[in-house]
Amino acid sequence: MDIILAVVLLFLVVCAFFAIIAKTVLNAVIYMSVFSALLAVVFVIMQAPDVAMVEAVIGAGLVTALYVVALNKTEG
Amino acid sequence: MSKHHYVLVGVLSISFLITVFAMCQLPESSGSFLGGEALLVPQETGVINLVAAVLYDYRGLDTLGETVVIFAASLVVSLLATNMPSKMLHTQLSPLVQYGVDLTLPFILLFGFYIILFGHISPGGGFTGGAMLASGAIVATITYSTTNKHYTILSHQANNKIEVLGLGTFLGIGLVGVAVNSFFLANAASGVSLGTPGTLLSGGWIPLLSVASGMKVGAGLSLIFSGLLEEDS
Repeated sequence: MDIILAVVLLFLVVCAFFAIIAKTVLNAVIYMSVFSALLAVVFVIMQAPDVAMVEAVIGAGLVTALYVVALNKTEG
Repeated sequence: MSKHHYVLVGVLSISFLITVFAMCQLPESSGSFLGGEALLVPQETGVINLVAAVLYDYRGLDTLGETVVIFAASLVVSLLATNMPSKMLHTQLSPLVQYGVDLTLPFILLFGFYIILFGHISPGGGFTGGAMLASGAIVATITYSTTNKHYTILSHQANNKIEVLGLGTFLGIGLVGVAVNSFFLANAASGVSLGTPGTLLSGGWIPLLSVASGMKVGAGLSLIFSGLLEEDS
């Protein structure tokens, strides 16, 4: 369990790093989506399933959809 | 990379180090964190999910505030979002996406309803389930709008009605507590039967509050999305 948590936490930092140095904003949005999905895994390991569900649905699903629509509106 | 980027990378490196140090100091045992006063929760509220007890009983007013925030957000989006034509609706999706969504959409919606109705027994609750229903609606809108111009599961007006009905139900249940000379959003103190903790009909007003906030959040988030996406029509 400890090793899984350590690997996921390190991947979180790597995802945040890639979200910052991404070339296009769309790539950054995708990296943030992956970040949220990994954060949901961390919450499950920390025994907080309620928060994990909210993070997976809102962070990885809804917010990504809203960002993509906003990008579509502003760049087009 | 600009100077701005170097600052961000510096902050990230520091947070990386903090993560590594924090990992060394995590508590060893992963057993139950419950104990002491937490064990009184099923007697006091009639629900076995601690988070639902906090969200809909002890701190019910905070949940009301959360749902009002979403109400305000959907209001602002429908006021400010421009009616620029969206390119997204003219994209071609592969048949794989179409058939995949055909197959999974009923299960996404069903799971959302399950999460709302069983929020007081298993993890979840009105907010989570409502967000799941809203993401189901968003997936349907994105997929089917390519063939069917601006497809939505529920119309704008129906979403509006559901949102207002959810908020009204929440406030009405809160006022029941005031009507019987107790406090706003009172659960056990308002004299409602708590039932056996762990069964579907338990927890007094908590399942109803969960359904109300699920309606509110689901309709509100779908309204935000369709308000952003909306084409000139």
